[in-house]
Amino acid sequence: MASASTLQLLGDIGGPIGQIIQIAMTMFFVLFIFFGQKIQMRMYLLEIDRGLRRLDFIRGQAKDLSLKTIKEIGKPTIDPGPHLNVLLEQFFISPVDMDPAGIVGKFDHLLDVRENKFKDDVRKIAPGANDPQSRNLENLVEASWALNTIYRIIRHFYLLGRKTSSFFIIIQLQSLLPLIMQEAEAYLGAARAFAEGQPIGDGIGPLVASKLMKDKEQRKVEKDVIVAETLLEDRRVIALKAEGPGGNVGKPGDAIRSILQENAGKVSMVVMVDAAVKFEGENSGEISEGIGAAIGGIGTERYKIEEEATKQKIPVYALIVKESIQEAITPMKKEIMEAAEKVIERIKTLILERSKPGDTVIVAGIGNTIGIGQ
Amino acid sequence: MPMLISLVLVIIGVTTLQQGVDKFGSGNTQEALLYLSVTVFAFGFVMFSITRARRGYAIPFMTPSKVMSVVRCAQCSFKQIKNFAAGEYVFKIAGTCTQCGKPSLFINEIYAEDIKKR
Repeated sequence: MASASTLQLLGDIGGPIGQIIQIAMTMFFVLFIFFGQKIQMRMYLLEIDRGLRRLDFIRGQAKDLSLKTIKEIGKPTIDPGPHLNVLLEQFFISPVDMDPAGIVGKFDHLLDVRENKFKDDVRKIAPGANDPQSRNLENLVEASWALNTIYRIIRHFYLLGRKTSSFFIIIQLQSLLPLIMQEAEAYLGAARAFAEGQPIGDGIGPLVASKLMKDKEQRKVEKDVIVAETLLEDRRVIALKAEGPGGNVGKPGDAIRSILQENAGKVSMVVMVDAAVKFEGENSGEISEGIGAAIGGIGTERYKIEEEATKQKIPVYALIVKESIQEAITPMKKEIMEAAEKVIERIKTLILERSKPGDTVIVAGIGNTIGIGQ
Repeated sequence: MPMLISLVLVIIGVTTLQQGVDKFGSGNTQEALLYLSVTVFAFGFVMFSITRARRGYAIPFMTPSKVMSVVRCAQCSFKQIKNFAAGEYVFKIAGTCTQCGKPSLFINEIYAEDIKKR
């Protein structure tokens, strides 16, 4: 309760302080009517600025980690810093799509060129790294590249929004910021996993395939893909995955196509196992069954599988393990890893229901095989 | 700027609250309600600003996790859970089993566990 003197000083609503308050309130309302949006924009800009600082910090951490790992593992003879900066600014120009005929081949070719150049560039700055380490370094530099790109894009729109005072650029950026920050944090987690060579959530497909091909005779098919044959419920199962344990996704589209062509008329079904982004509210490690080629990326690998399967009229089934986008690129969570055995059980059920004894079935483990051997 | 507005509104809120309570005590309900409505508005705006600012800060950062390796023996029931070490990978041969003496140890699992859960 206020003391008597304070109350006296304040007076009633018609008193001097009361009048000041009324004037202040009126001014506040008038200011808010005319400058409300400007004030709101300033608040949003402050929020974006804070996010941008954090993004800068995250990309700095990823870059430092890349440099440290390159120096530790790669034993470079030259200073890798300037070369790394060049790699972090690299870009990719998509093929023209005005005439879409043949665009998949063009994309595939450009992606191969990009991958080979990236690989060569990383090897140049890390000559001391062995093959799996070199692949891990490629993944690490790619994570740093992603963070650098995110930062540059956000900074661009932030400065553009500020320069043009465009409320709509700023409001879009502010609304997307939490998702962008989540992704950036996940990329930093991914960079740490790549530096150490730890399996990531996306590796659940290769993990399933490697469990099937363990202790079996293995051979290398198409680019960086390992294949082994095993028996499952009296069916001949051809399991395939990218060659591990280095960070690698291989070219499963090419591999499946060549296996289908090698075994023309013999394959009764293709089962693809991959990690897939869950909806909010769903549990990580849950398994879902579907139809079609479960493989991410730009679509070139999926195209090859769909094309060959359609040509030979082979059904393609998909088993996906649900996880968040963050879990997919950070070290594999226990609940995701535990899903591998359940997936194998689901594969058994699927082939029992959809094929006959003696049939040939392809099981493809799709994803990044970092930290997963075979 | 938002901080300054909030500060002014807090002062206004406290002052009008005092006035409102005083007027209520002296039986002047109409004026009391006028003061108290300004109080509600002022504090409401401040609360709104605070929750907005907090939401801005509340970008969900990732929970720290620890990566573990599970070493198993292919010949006996030996199992060991240890911290992940660089260079390890799933199905890597990990040496001789201390339980059965056979060179059949391998890394069976590598997984991340949230530190909070442990």
